[in-house]
Amino acid sequence: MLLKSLFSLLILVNFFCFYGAPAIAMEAEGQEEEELLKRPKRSKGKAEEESLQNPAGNEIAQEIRQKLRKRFRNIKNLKIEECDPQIIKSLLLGYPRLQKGEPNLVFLILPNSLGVTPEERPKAHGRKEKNAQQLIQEELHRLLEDGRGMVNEETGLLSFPVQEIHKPDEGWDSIPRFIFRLDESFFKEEPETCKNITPKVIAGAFGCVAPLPICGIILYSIGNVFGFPSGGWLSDTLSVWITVNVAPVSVRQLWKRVGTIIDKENFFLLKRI
Amino acid sequence: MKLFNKKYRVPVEGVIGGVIKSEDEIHNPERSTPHIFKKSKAHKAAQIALIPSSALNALLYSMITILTYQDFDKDELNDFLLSYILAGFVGLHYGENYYNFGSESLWDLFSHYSYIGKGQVSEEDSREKRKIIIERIRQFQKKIADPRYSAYAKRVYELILEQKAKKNVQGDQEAEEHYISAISLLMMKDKVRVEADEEEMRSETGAVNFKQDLDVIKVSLKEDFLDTLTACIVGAGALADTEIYPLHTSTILSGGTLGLDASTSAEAASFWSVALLDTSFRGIIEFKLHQNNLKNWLKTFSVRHFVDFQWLRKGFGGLATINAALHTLPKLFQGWSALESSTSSLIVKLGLLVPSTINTFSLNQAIFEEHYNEGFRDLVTLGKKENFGPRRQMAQLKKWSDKAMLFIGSRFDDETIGKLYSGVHQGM
Repeated sequence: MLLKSLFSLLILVNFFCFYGAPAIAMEAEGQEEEELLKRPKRSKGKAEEESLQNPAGNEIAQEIRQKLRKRFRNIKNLKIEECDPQIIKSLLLGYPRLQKGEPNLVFLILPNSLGVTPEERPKAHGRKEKNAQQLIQEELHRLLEDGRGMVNEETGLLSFPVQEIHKPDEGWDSIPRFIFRLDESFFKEEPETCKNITPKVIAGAFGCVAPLPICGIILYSIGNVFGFPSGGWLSDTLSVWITVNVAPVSVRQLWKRVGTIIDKENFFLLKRI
Repeated sequence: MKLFNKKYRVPVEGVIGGVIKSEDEIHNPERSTPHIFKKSKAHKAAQIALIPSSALNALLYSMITILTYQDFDKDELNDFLLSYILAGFVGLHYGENYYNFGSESLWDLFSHYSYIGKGQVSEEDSREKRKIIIERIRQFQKKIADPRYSAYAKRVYELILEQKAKKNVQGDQEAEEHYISAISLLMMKDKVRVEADEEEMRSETGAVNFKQDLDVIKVSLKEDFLDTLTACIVGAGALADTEIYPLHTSTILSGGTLGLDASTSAEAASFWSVALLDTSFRGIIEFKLHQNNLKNWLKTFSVRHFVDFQWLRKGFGGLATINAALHTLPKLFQGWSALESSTSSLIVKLGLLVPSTINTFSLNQAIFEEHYNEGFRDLVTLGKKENFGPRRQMAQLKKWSDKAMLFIGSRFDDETIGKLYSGVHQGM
């Protein structure tokens, strides 16, 4: 319930390249985001400053909120205004554009009312509960104290190099990334089968012997049922037929089994479809 | 956010890629990576129990071989251990194949009865989504089998290769947002879907779309019939084998070769117990095998189901049937010999022999069917995928889509299925 009081937490995450590369974005969405990024830069006028200080009903706030909603639409029941600060944090830190180690800046647009300067730091110790505002403030102050972030008190913009951010790789719950990973795993080329020669030799030896007794028992059964003599052209043809069909099956099966034991390759899970 | 029951999850990458990741990575519940079910303790126990069951099955074939050779040439072979060595080879051949099929069946059984619905996703939801996705893949297979859609199949194949070539889109927003899911290309999707304009509307539109998706699941009389038929085959086969197995055992052992006396009640009871245990276990794990086998058998005589190299595949189906029939003969013959001495009526004897023979035939057919299909598929899809002609492209698409059906049906965990479903239907 306390989170409802934090109506106007406005966060925009993006990156700029120091070396002049434009922000990469989807055609429509990208243009919108660029607009969003430009606006705070131009917001030196009194009206815009005021609107930042009082974000309720403010156009930029709405736009950013919509943007966040759209961006993180895959997260069920996410309400930006009521969002748990930890979730917001993970959303922020897990934003796909952020690449650890790249010389980019991350801009967090914060309403001035949050009071991001160290002087206004809330004294959270001793309190039973902390609201979202306090938690985020603490996190921001920690970054500031570490000397990793810079704050523009006039606009409420906090910036810090992205390489300073620990990007929670596991926390980003994005469907596109998930699908990409799924594709990557699913279409990965299957491993080379048994480079080791031993399974092939064992399988080959077994494959040559296995059809012999099978030929024998089948021929005897057929001879017994249909009454044709062994040693004739029919039994010879049948022997060849059985050998040709059984040998590869035996060789293949044993090759995979021995290969699984020796090379520790998981052939069976992949192959039986 | 502890979203999922980590007990049942293993990263897909770890299994598909043949590389098992570290424990931390496997058990980290926050991962946004696809996972397959992790084997439970019961699953592992069943897998261990499969080894003696396979051994017993191998023993049965070995006994049949010994009996056959004893009948064939009593003077020469019976005095030497050659017949036992040969029997060992036969047993190893059948036991190995049986173990493989059993292992697959256990996966199906455990995912169906134990794993699905164990996370935060509801069981019903996960099952329906699996069915929907699998049905979409079947529709895709049917579509590309139609020669009128050959250009479509070609385009899908090219797109998948394009997506595969993309090494890493992570961090590149444009590439990421234009990324098309390659796995979703293996499915047919509805052209018209209800879109949510507002966040608040998402759950409602999601429900409408899900309802629409459910329509793709058709109640098939053929499937119901196959289920019933499979149950009959497995049940009758298990009963018949329980009866025949001790007869074989006692014939071998009472022959004096191993110095045991099968006429004592204790040993007879032990034969029966072993037979009962073996056939019960086999009855459980063979259901899926026989069900698949019946479907494959129908496909051999149908002109609709294969998407590529149709007549060649059907030819292999026919070859598998011939070979399965040949390999069933020894067991049929020895089964008849064993029952001949019984005082039961002819109808009872046939009632035991026929189901046992059908069961054996089905198992043998599965061995050869898999061998031909797998060998042929690997052969056709060998080489550089970029240079494939239309037929080989289709074979590759079928291979991928079959693999997708296997993983979606019984391997991917509920979260993975949920995300895949969402992703596919969000147009990725």
